[in-house]
Amino acid sequence: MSDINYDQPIGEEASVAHEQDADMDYEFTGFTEPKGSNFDFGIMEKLRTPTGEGSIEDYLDHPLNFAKSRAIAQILRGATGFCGDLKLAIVDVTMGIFNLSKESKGKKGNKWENVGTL
Amino acid sequence: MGKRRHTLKIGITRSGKTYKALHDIKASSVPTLFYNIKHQEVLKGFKDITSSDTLRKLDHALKHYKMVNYLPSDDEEQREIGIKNIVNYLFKSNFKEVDFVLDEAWEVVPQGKAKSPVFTITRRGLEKIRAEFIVQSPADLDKKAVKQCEIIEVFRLNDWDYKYLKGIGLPAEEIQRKLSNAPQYSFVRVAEGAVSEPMKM
Repeated sequence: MSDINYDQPIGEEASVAHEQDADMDYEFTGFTEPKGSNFDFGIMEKLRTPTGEGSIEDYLDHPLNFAKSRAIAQILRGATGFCGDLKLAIVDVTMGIFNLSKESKGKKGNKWENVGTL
Repeated sequence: MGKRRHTLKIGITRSGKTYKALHDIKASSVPTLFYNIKHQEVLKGFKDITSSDTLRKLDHALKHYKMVNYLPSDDEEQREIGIKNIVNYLFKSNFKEVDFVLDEAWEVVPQGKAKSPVFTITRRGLEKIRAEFIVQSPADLDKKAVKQCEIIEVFRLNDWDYKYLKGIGLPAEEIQRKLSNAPQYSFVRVAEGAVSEPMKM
């Protein structure tokens, strides 16, 4: 049994997809993203976020790159892509807590000083 | 029974034509859809299907109940769509044979209606669907439909209906003569030019 939508009410206009599709020449335009589904909680969409602008080297002097590390620079570039330029309240709060714990321990001259100042 | 043929039943109100049609359906082993536009009472054993039911339900009913009492919508547009969908479904279904009996068939195929999905059934012959039309007056039904019925069962008619039958080439005088003395609810069968003796349910 083909070309019939068995789930349509008898008194309703037939959905034409099946009958007409058989006669049409389709032009394949590639796969399209599924619409309307939040089943993956938007994870797939998030994973397609472009990375931050600039080269990895541009992030070596980033305020949050406390070790002037190339690896951290790469992480920061990606994080910038997700979150923008990282001038976020949550970043300030997190790094502030980190610095507070350092200050309370009385460590000085540490390379971690002023980490998180944006 | 022999070869399947499209059939026409004609007769005035309460002549017994619909009652006979329902009994014929019950006696037949062929799955049958009875198009009951008047929503009149049918015999036991019929499965009611309406225009808001799905084709899947109709298909199931025909397979398992064999006799379907289809109750068309009151809305004319919905009825037109329903007929189109039913005819399409009947052609594409898996049934080897299926009967489509239309009561008050003139409502579906009135005189002069050039296009009706039902003509697809009568034009293509009896590949798998046998059509049966039930009308009060043969003049109400489109001539094309009448001409494609190889069997005509004539119940009691008005005088001008006999004139119409004569006009379309049927042995009207012989039919009228045979029925004139027959008991109530009698009918004659006209096939291949021959008129049977009166029969009764």
